[in-house]
Amino acid sequence: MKYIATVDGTDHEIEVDRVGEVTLDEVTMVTDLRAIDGSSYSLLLDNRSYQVFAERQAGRYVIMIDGDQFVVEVEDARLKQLRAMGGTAHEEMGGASVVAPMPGLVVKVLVSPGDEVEANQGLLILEAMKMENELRSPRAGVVRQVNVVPGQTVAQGDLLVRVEEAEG
Amino acid sequence: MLKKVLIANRGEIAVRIIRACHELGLETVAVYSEVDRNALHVRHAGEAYLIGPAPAAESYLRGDRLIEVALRSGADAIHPGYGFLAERAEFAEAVAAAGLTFVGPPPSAIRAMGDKVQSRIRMIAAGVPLVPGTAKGLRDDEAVAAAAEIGFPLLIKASAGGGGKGMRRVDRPQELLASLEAARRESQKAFGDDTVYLERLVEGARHIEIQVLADTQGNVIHLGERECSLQRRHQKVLEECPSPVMTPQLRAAMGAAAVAAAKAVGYVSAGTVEFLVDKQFRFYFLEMNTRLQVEHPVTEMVTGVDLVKNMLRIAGGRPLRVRQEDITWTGHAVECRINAEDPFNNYLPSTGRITSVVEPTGPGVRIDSAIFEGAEVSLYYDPMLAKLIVHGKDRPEAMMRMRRALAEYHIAGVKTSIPLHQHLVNTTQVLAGNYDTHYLEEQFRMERPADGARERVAAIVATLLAHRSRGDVINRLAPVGSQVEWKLYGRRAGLRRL
Repeated sequence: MKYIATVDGTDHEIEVDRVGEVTLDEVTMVTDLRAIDGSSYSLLLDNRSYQVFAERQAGRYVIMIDGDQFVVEVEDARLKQLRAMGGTAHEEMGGASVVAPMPGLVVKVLVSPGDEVEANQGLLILEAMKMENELRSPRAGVVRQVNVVPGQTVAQGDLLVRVEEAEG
Repeated sequence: MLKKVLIANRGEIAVRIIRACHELGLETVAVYSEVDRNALHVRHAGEAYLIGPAPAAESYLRGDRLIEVALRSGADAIHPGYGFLAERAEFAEAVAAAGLTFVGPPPSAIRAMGDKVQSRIRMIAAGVPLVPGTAKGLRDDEAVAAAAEIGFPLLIKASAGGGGKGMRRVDRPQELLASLEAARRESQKAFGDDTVYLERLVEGARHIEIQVLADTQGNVIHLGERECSLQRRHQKVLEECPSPVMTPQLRAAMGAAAVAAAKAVGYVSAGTVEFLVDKQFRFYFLEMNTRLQVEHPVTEMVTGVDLVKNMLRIAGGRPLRVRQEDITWTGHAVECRINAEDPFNNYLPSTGRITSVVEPTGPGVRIDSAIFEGAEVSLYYDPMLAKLIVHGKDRPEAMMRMRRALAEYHIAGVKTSIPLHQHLVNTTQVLAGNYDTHYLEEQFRMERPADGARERVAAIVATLLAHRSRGDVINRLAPVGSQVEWKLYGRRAGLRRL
């Protein structure tokens, strides 16, 4: 069974042949992955021992090795191919929504509807955990919607600002 | 000597103080807000009392309730820890007025050092070197005039400030007014006071602070420095002792200045005098923190002096047991502050329930922590979860030990700054001790070795886990409820026929 595992933007083709063996970059290795407790795993990879913590989050795997973190997306290689054939027509084009990454208090709104903004331009300041955090525009465009006012408390995931492609 | 101490704090520092009390044979009283019933400090303490709802303003900042609980429980002293009421002179006064002992400096010393403008005047009189700057709260027009004299870049600082709140760097004259507004707003919110002052920015400077201990008999000693230059948004991230640039001569000079600063305000208890040290090793007084510091453990590890126990003994009227000549510095200690934040996503705060904790152990490792499986990390309080401190015979051993300990450390359920620290102690400049207060924010990048070895291991682990739950994975690949699922099904069926 072939998979594509994507780490930091790099695709790795990994074949899991039968229990205990994987092939990566044409090198076949003997693996022994044991679940220890909760998110804790022990991996022996050709007898090299790794202490690993792994969690599934939003369809991706967050892997901790040696105190460093890697986010891995795994797809069935065949399905990935199919998706490539299907194209990206279903992706939302042209706009970007800025949502509250955490609950907090809107301290200041830096833009108004109709404003043209650059990518990474500050849109508003959200205070959470006693720190002011500037939320920035993920893209260049025009502010179409501002849903909050200073002093307003927002919940995680609330739509704050919408930036769309500038017309013409 | 004291008999029973109320700890007016929460989190790791409350636990730290409770431990010191118990080792001294003192009884302890914890206080907690409604969301902290299960907290570690409640469970470690001899007694615990509810003081109010989750917001600190209605619980841990309610001095009246804290004093009432102290009286009701028969405590004879209150230790404020750091943050909350630790540097509020009025609270220290109210504690004394209630006939209780405040485990900290006299209110007059808190007040003298708490007002940054007043403290500058006192330090000038005591002969402690200062960074050029303005000497009083300024109106905006006065600030513009003063800024031209001081020169750019400069810093705007809140008179009542601390921990970087209300502090702003200004590089150009045209940025001054906007930055003044932001600094005043932050200061007003954090301290209820929008008075600011200006100071020349010493470029390439290190932040090095000196720990002092003073008893009620008038003995004042210093316990050497802590190097705190690795900062982000003026919050310390990693601290070490000794500083990589320290020499016995510089330590003696800075120590003497710190002792003079403490004596100038009649200081008693543990305190910290913060200095900027420039590239020529000239040092300038920044401020004095009139409380126990977060990073106090690195000093304890290297000097062998328990600062919290000393604070308690001093509060009980005992003279210092150690003289200046008894203080020696053995080996090297490093502390990493483990915060609930995502170093891969602009350090956004992370909240939630901690689902598992695996703490490093073994030689030379100390953890001051208040987290456990099931602990809730909320937005109500400081994002610091724990402090990981290591001690080694020298700096290289301490750094290698920190790498080893960080590799063992795992906290699940919230994002933490553990990866940031692991990257830091694997960075050439940090290992070389070659960094200043701007290094972390301006130069440091989370980069990995190009060999991609651990990336491949991560890919293999994720793939094996995905393989084990294969049906699950395939079903999740297509967006639920969209037409894509059906199209995929059709194509898949088509492929099967081939």
